[in-house]
This record gives sequence, structure tokens and C-alpha cells, in this order.
Amino acid sequence: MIELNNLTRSFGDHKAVDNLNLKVETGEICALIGTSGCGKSTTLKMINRLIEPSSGTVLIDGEDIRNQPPEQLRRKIGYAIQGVGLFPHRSVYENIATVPRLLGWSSEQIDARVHELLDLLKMDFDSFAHRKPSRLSGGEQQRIGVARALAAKPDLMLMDEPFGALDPLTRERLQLELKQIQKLLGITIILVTHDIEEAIRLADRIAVMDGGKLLQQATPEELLRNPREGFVSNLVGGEERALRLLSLRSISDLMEPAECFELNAATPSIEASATLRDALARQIWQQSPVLRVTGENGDTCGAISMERLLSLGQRPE
Amino acid sequence: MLSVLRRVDRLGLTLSLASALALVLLPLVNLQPNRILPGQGVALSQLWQQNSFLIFLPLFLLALLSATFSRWLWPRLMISAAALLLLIIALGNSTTLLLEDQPPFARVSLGSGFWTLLLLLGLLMTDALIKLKMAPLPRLALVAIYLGAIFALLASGLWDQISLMLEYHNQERFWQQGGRHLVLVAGSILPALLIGVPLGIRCHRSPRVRAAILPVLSLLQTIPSLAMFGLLMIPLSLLATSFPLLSEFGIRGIGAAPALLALFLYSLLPIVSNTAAGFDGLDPAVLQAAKGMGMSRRQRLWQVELPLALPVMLSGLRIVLTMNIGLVAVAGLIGGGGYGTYIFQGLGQTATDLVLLGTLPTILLAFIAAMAIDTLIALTQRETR
Repeated sequence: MIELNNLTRSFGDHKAVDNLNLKVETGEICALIGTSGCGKSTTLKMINRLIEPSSGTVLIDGEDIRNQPPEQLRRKIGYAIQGVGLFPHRSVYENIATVPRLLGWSSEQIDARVHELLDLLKMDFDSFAHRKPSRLSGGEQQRIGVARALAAKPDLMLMDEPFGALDPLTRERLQLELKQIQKLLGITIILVTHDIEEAIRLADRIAVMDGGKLLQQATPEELLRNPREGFVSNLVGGEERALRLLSLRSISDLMEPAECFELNAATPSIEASATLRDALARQIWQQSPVLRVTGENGDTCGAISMERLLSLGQRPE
Repeated sequence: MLSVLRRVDRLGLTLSLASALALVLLPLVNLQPNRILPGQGVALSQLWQQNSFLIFLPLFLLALLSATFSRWLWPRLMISAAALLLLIIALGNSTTLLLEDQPPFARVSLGSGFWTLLLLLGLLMTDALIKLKMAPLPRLALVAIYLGAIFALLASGLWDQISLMLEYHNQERFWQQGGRHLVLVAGSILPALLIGVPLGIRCHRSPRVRAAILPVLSLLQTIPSLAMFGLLMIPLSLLATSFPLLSEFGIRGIGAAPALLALFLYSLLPIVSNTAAGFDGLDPAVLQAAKGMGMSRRQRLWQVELPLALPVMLSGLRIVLTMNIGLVAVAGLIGGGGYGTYIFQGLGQTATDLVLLGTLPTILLAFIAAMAIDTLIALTQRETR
């Protein structure tokens, strides 16, 4: 568990972060979101002591981070940033091996770990390991950036707008991959972003910041249903909130037994793992108020109606 | 007809025409009554019956044609390289003949025709070499082999009758002077690196240090070298007279000490400013990632910052190296030693070939140094690609 207690950082008279309190449970993805200059990056950098707080404490699993030298602390925390910052003079292999080498792992351990991570990111060892970063696409570079951050098996990873520079398609694919990897490894991630879609897609908890203050922290659903007046409700959007809410849940949560509807061979179908937003989109596209829901094996396992979707997305009273 | 014209290499054509004119119009060698007096030019028309010229001439023609019309770079390079070697052989052979019925003090010296051809053929070869886009190490090896071939020709005694080589054989300490030349260059650059690189890093980190240091170093650069030697002579000779112990270590108003000190001061600006520029150009994301992953300050410096700034730093070293090889020659005037000694002796005796004996090795050293550093820069840049 990560606890930020009364964290404040001033630059001269300006308080970049003002008395911030936040708890992030182990195994969660927490998104710090806000406009640029709201203090979200400063907050992140105080967790690995790239910036020291003016006052307040950061506890990781109950231990004050100031109890150890900054270099040692940072080697235990994964760190991935927007520009990626791969070392251009070192191969993909050497880049990933950076922190394990700093920690003095044996070359067998490092070799095994690099293989493991490239596997995890679905990148072929033989074709990627010995390339220089300049020979990689933007998405591949960012994947290697994530692999490098995960190299020394950290329990916590800090990410500063890691997908900001990528095209929308690549960004979405990497977000999904990151979510899978995070669930697989059970690590905690604190992620800085200015993109509410990204926060909703990835995070278990969203912390909204403005002017150095924490305005609201909540699960995505709660944030969409009950945003605080003003900045937060502007951020989560007006009418678009309905669609964002739908995108939070999968069809399997809301589907009804197939027998309730008269399905025929012409009824369009959709996979149960898709989101409710996907279901609504398909209903509009196919002009069909009811969809057949299929399981992984392709068998019909239920049905979803537009009526039900509409009721879920309605404006909170 | 048009398609042929379109295939003409304009640079090749210009160089070819110029070298053809030089060969026909300018004297290849001069026949002098003795070492000092100017001689008479001997043109190709008086030499061409010589057997080796009969091989040289067709090869020369082929070189010009291939430079003008051919897209095949390798033949262009090889033919012009072979033509130059044959010119050296042909000239060597013809001197014996020219000197046959001359008085014993008569000399054959190289004429304006030869130097022009050397320059133009050199440009043809350089042009082909650049267009070949070879990998850095093989290119360096190729140039080394070619220079080695020329040295072998000279060492074989082929040119021993030519005035320049006679001057060389008169100088017993030619190679020692070369060593001394290099020692002066290294002796000024190594301390400049030891002080300039850390200073450049400081300039990168602190704008205030930069604002204080760079203008001073630029001002030093503007002082002409002879004025600088003069300026340094006064305090150094004062030092030497007040502390006799110092002069035993060679610290005197004239000699190596002011030369080294002046070259050291000149070297600082390119080293400091290129180091600072190299560090300024580093990607901030790379540095932030290095820090965020837990590299210590020293690890970041040695493993990330220095390797990435190295190409820019090396181009500073290239400037300093070629500059100092030339400036050491000037230091010959104040008794610093090195090839400059021959230049000033030769000027004093109006013996042109002795001046050349000082000039040519200086140019060659600068050329080799520049080429070596270029190879290093290419290798370090390839690291990041």
C-alpha cells in the first residue's frame, strides 16, 4: 500500500502540490489526472524522490521512503515516462538489463529475465533483443520502456503519461496489454495522465487534481456517477458520461437469458467480453434493438437489449 | 549525344581539364644549378619519351575519362590512385637522366606542375572515396595502405636524386623532430582535455559558469599565435630568472614552455564549448529515465552522458588536433622544435625544399589526425544508430 500523507511541494511561493492525501492499495492501478501544471507529475516524482516534498510523508507498505537512499529506492520502483528515454547507444537487451545490472544480478538471471519480459510483451527475442532503440517503432519503444521498468520485478511502477506520444490505435492496444500484465503480475501502478478515457480504461481508482489540490478520488464508476461540481464534472464530460459509464462494464454483467427474446438467425451477435458501449454501438449500426450474446466458444449464452442499456446510462438523479 | 552529356560528372570534368592543362603547360620539375638558385622549368614535352611516362600517360588519360564519364566509383578511385603512383615513379626515373650531363651541385626539384597534379588527383580520389560511402574502418585502412605505398616508393630510394629527398637525407634528426612535434601536440592537448572536459560539463550545468568562462576562452582564441608566444615569453623568462630551479625543468622564455602553454590555452575553447554543446544536446527524457531508474550521478555520467555526448566532443578534439599540429610548426620560430624548425631554417637560407621538408610532414600529420578522428566519430555515432 502506498500512502501519501499531507504531501506539499512549493517552488518559491507557488504550491505545486498542496496538502495531498492519497492511499493506493496494493495491486491497484491509480490514475492521477488533471490538466498540465496541476501537480500530478510533481506528486509522482515525490514517490521516487526525483523531487523531495517540502512537507508531508510518503509511505510504501508502512515504511517512510526517506529511510533509504534515493538510488536504492528508485531501483525498487519501476519508472516509465512519456519520452520513453531508452538509451540510444544500448541495445534493447542492454536497456532492459539496466536496473538488474545496477542491482548486481548474475548474467544468467538477467538473460532469463530479458527473455521472460520480451515474451510477456509478445516481442520475439531474436528479432528485437539486439536492435538499437532507433530501429524500433514508437509503440515498440514504449513496450521496451515498460519492459525496462518491470525488469527488476518491482512491486510498484510509476508511469508519467507513458502513452501520450502514441497514435490512438497503438495507445489503445498498449493500454490493454498493460492492464493484462498488471493483473498477471499483481503489481501496483500509479499513472499520470491528462486523458480521461485512458484513466477510465485502465484505473481502479482515479484521483483528480487541479491547482495542486486533490479534488476527488473514486472508482471510475463512482466518479462518472457522482462527480464533484466544477472541474471534476467538466473533466468527466456532460452527456458523454453516459457512454463512458457503458464502457466500464462488460456485456456479461448485464445480459439476460436468451429465452426472454425472440432471437432468430438474422439477429446480430456480440461477444460477452465486449463492453456495453460496444453493444450499444452495434445495436445502432445494425439497427437491431436486441443482440445475441455469444461465449468464447461461439455458443449463444444470452441476449442484451437496448432498453436495458439505456436505463443503465441514464442521468443520475 | 545528349545522353552522354547528361552523364558527365561536372566536378570530374573540371578537375580533369585542369589537370590536363597543368600537365601540359606547367613544369613538372625544375633543374637548378645548386640548392639555392632558382632553376629552369622542365615540362612534359622534354620528359615524355621516358619509358615510365609511356605507362603513366595512358593511365592518366584513363583516369580523367573515368572521372568525367564513369559512374563506377571503384575504377575511378583505383585508376587515379595508380596514376599518381606512376607519376612518382616516372619523375624518379627521369631525374637520373636529367642530371646525367650536369655539374655536381645541380639539383632537380619538384615543379608547379607536379604540385598541381598532386592536388587535383588527390581531389579526384577524395571525391570518389566520399561517394563510395565506405564503412569508416575499411576507408581508414585503404588510405593507410595507399600512404604506405607512397612511403615505400620514397624509401626505396627512387626519389633520392630529387632535391626534397636530398634535404631529407641531410637532416639526421628528421624523425626525432617528428616525435617532438607530436609530443608538443599531445603535451598541450592532454592537459587541455583533462581541464577542458570537466570545465565543459560545469558550463553545461551552470549558466553562470558558462557566462564567466566562454568569453575569456574566446578572447584567448583571437590572440594571434606569434603575439601569444611573445606575451608568454615575458612572464616565463621572469619566472625562470627568479627561480633558477624552474629553468632546469625547461621553463624558460623561449623553447617548449611558451609553445606548450600557448597551445594549451588555444585548445581550451573548442574542447570546453564542444563538451558543453555535447551535453546540452542530450535528450532530457533519457537523463530523466536514467535518474528515475536509480543510476547514481557517476553512473549517469560515465554510462549515459559521456558516451552520448562523445561524437560532439570528438569533433572538438578534431579541431584542436589539426589546429595544434599546424601551430606547433609556428612554435619552431621560438625554438620549440618540431617540423617548424625546418620551415624557419629553410626560410633563412632561402632553401625552398627545406621549407617543404617542414611543411609537407606537418600537412600529412594534420591529414592523418583528422582522418583518424573522423573514423572515431563515425564509429561512435554508429553506436547510437
